[in-house]
Amino acid sequence: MPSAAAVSEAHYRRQIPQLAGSPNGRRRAEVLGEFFRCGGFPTGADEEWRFSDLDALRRTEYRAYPPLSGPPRAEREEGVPAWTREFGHRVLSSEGRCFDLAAGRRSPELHFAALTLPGSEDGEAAEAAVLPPWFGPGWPGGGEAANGTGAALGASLRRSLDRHPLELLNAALAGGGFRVSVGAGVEEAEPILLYSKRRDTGDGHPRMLHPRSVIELAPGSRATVIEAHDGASETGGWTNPTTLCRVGADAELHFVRLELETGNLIHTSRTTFRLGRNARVFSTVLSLGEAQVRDDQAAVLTDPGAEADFAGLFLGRGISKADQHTLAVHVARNSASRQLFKNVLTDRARAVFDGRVVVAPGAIGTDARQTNRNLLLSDAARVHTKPRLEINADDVRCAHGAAIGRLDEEALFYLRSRGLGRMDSRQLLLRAFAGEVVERVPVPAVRELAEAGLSRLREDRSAATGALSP
Amino acid sequence: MTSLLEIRGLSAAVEGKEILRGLDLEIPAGETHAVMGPNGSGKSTLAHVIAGRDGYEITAGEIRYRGEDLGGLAPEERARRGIFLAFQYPVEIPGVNNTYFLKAAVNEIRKHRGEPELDAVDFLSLMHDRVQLLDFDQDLVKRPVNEGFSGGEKKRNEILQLTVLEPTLAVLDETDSGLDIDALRIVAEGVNRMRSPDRSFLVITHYQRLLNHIVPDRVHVLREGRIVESGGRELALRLEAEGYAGAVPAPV
Amino acid sequence: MPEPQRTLGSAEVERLVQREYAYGFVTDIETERAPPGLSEEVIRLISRKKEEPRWLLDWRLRAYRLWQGMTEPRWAKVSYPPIRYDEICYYAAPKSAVAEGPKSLDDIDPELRATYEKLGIPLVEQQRLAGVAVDAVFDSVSVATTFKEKLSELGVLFCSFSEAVKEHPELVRKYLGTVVPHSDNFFACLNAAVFSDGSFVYVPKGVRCPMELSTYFRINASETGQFERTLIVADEGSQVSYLEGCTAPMRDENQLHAAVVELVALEDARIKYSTVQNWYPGDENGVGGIYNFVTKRGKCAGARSRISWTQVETGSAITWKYPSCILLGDDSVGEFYSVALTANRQQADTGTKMIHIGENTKSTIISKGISAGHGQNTYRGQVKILPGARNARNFSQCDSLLIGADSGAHTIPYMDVANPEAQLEHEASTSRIGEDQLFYCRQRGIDPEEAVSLIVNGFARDVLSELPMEFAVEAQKLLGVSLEGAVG
Repeated sequence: MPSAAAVSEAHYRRQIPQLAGSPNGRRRAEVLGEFFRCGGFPTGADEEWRFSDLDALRRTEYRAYPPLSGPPRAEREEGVPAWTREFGHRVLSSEGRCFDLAAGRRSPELHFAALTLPGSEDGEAAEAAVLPPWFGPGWPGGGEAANGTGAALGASLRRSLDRHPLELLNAALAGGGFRVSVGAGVEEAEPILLYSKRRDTGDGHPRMLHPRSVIELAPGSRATVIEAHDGASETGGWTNPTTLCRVGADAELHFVRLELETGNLIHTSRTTFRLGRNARVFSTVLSLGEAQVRDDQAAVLTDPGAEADFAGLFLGRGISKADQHTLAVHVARNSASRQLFKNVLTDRARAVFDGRVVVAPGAIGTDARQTNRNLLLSDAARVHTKPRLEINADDVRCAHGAAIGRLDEEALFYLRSRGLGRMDSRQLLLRAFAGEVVERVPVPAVRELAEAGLSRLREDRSAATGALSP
Repeated sequence: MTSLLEIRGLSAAVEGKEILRGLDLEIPAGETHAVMGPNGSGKSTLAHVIAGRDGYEITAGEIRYRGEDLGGLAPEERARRGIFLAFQYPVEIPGVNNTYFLKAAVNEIRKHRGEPELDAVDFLSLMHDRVQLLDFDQDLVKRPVNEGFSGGEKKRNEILQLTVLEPTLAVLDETDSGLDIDALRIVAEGVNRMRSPDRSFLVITHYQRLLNHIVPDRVHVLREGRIVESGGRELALRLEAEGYAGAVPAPV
Repeated sequence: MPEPQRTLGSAEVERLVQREYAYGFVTDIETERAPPGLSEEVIRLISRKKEEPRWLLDWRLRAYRLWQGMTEPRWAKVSYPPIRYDEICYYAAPKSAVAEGPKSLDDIDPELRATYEKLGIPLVEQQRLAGVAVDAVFDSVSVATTFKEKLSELGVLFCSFSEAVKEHPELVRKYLGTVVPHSDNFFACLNAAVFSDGSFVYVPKGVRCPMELSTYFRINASETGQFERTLIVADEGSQVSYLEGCTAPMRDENQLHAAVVELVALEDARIKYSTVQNWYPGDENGVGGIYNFVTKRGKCAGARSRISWTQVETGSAITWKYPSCILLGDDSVGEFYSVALTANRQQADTGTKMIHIGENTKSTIISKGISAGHGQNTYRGQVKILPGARNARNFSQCDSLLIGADSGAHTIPYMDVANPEAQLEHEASTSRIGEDQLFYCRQRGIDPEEAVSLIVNGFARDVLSELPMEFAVEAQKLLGVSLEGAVG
């Protein structure tokens, strides 16, 4: 239940998953302490969190989902939408617990699974995988970057990398997640779906979920991984996934974060990428639900030739909000990053884009591009955009662009003059706008979800009358 | 008669990689010589070494211009002595007015020669004449240096600068690349009009096509960093028919 | 075969960006000064010196009490040791300028006259600067204003702020603090408490001011801050172009300059405000230099009004300023054109705010940042479209030129949009002086220093072309001087 005061550390301490004999229990408590020592939930006064009001999080006593009783129930798969069945590789979980574990068992070259703790037989393995030695609480990758480049990167950046508050909380409270590992040189053509669904427990308690997932691509490998979050809530709930990706030298990861949650939910995600030499990441966020979303993605390019390519599409309806924070830190020479984020907003939806490119001293040959484009389809929709470039080396190519506007009336008229109906013309233009992001996703089933989302964006009549749409 | 340009045993390296290897070339005053060669033979390196570009290190031999050793002279000092390089890829300088740029260049060269600097009025009338001569678009003169110019416009701008700066030695580095036949003719006419008994041209090209319009006195074949064959205009025609493969192979 | 390209060595560039400061001399003149430190007593003293009315003293004191509870903003990307506000002298004036009160141009202290001669600003109504009227501010006071009479024939009021308080109190009281309230921010609040002089302009209805109006700010005294306040009101249908220039002696200490500028443009009025800022930037190790913490804001109060800011920022150790426009009137237009050059250890965090409130309001932002040596240059801007600003338009372009591997260029634009009919476009790019550009210029006979200056000026051209002719030349020279090398 929401209370007036901020929720105490003691409450969260009680939510730490207990694992008998695991040294991590104590470590988790320390991480939780670190979260509160660093100020707990950030406020709007913190520039990085200006548009992400975490007040509801600060004041709500979210509880972890109750421990699993009995074996995973395969029949729950009935509650899973049809499109997931198109995936040959899929792992499903509900309320943070796997129930299709067997589907993920593969050879050591390609292994993926949902991991649950405590309670599942795989608990110890899960603990080890969820907190791998190369990713502690916080992010040693970020630490290395910051150490290597000295004070020029500044304290605020180090905080964004090493002490991201919601990542700390996730590390302390994670009760499970997914694990994907792809062996050296393996080129996995079929996409891997990591599907997670949440629901209310029926006892009126708002529940929180902290999935902590690890995706590891060994050198020279290739894979496509879709991390999907689905579900709804009436009592209110919070999903706070952290996904740690390590992409080895010459490896290529296509990562898609698919956000489908609706109802009274807050979704805060954190995705970090560590890239080896000449490694490439294509990350796409499709925010198609109707929740309050905050996504943080960060890549530190510590090895030459690495390339991080971020994109996002948010289809905003109702009072939904998407706050996209993307950070690319160029430390090595000749690394590249791209950011392409598009928002289509109706009703009272709000979109925030905070893209940040940091070029460390000496990172010459950096090539960084940022683009943010917004379509406003209603009077009450809001956009805040802040594409930031921070450049500390001279031989670089960096550019950014941002645009905010309506659907092009002239194009609309042109299409109608060729005989298309108003709605069809509008749909065509919306598809064209979103296409640049949607087309990146190498999975037809997921692209179809985005297209369906586009057609759900109703004509907003309030634009003409000034009234809010129902 | 001494030659205007004398190159003896020239070896030059870029970033430690030797590209010219004992090149000999002599251009008497008033003559036009063509240097032809396949890609990677060192043609552009030769042009840049003559102009004195930083990073092109002379490892052996020398370049004499009017009897003076060019080694140690900065690019602008060579330019002021009358050496002009028409660039293969003319550089864009955003925001810097073409006319202003050329006036600054003309006056630097005049200062060096001990001549009075041209004021704006004199300079503009000089420009006007040359622009007419070349059938050059007036608007381009007012635009920033090469910014947003098409490939052909850039090349014509190089020739406009050539006619305004009136050098003694003009090096044309693949001036024909990227030009259509009409532009090629205009550029060639501009060059031909500049030919005089005390001005020499070094025309660097991959194709013989340009030499139909700018007829050279001598043709040299450059291969693997040295001149492997020299002859009259007929050499160029032969190269066109037989390709560079037919030229005398470079001694190993 | 594409031949290898060599990159421009940073040592070469460093040599090209060495700079000399031409205005670093000190005028030896008898100065009257307040004791260092800030207290109500000091504020009363300043107010008494200026023979101010009670309401103005009360306004100052309100600001002072508020300021005591405020903290210095720390969000800008600049770093400096804490400022000791109790060690600054808040009022310093040449004795000759205060003792005998206002006088005619002929009676100016010869020392002061010589100072301004040396700065290239002769305090005479002479031929060469016939098109420019000058208000000369020396430390805390205005020492001379030229062409006052000629302007007054048209009803244009151009005088020092102190004089305006005495002669036109109703205008000052009506507009003072209406654009930048005394409570606006830490430095504006400090200014409201202690401002000592500045310029005042009022252009009456329908008058097009026939000459450029300008203020030249000079800091001379040591351990002294300069806190001037400028107020420009353009009445309906009027037009005025105003420019300011500034210099200071070379000193090892950092001196604070915290000015406030307020512009008010009524219906159909146009104000063009240009700045050529050349405060002492400190030496190559970052010792000394002015802290330029300035609040400038214009209000397009009337329909179809237009305010245009142009700034060339080449001086100061630290620049912190965001000349802004509040676009209140329908169809009003705001413009911001900026060149900021930081060399050696200079830091600049500068940009603009365009607040669109009225319908069909338009704004344009062109920012050119040049970072050389260890210079740090940040563009920080905000475009805000309020719900009622139907059909608002903004175009922003922020380009950075980096010279040398140790320089930094940062671009932080904020865009907040609450009206679907708004159209905003923002573009930013970075570039450097290419070795190929430099070689091209040199092959045409141009010196490397001259070539760098040429390329820098070309980069800044879109902004320089917005300056009035007299000052465009000056600004171009400044960019050249700032980068002039020790080569050859």
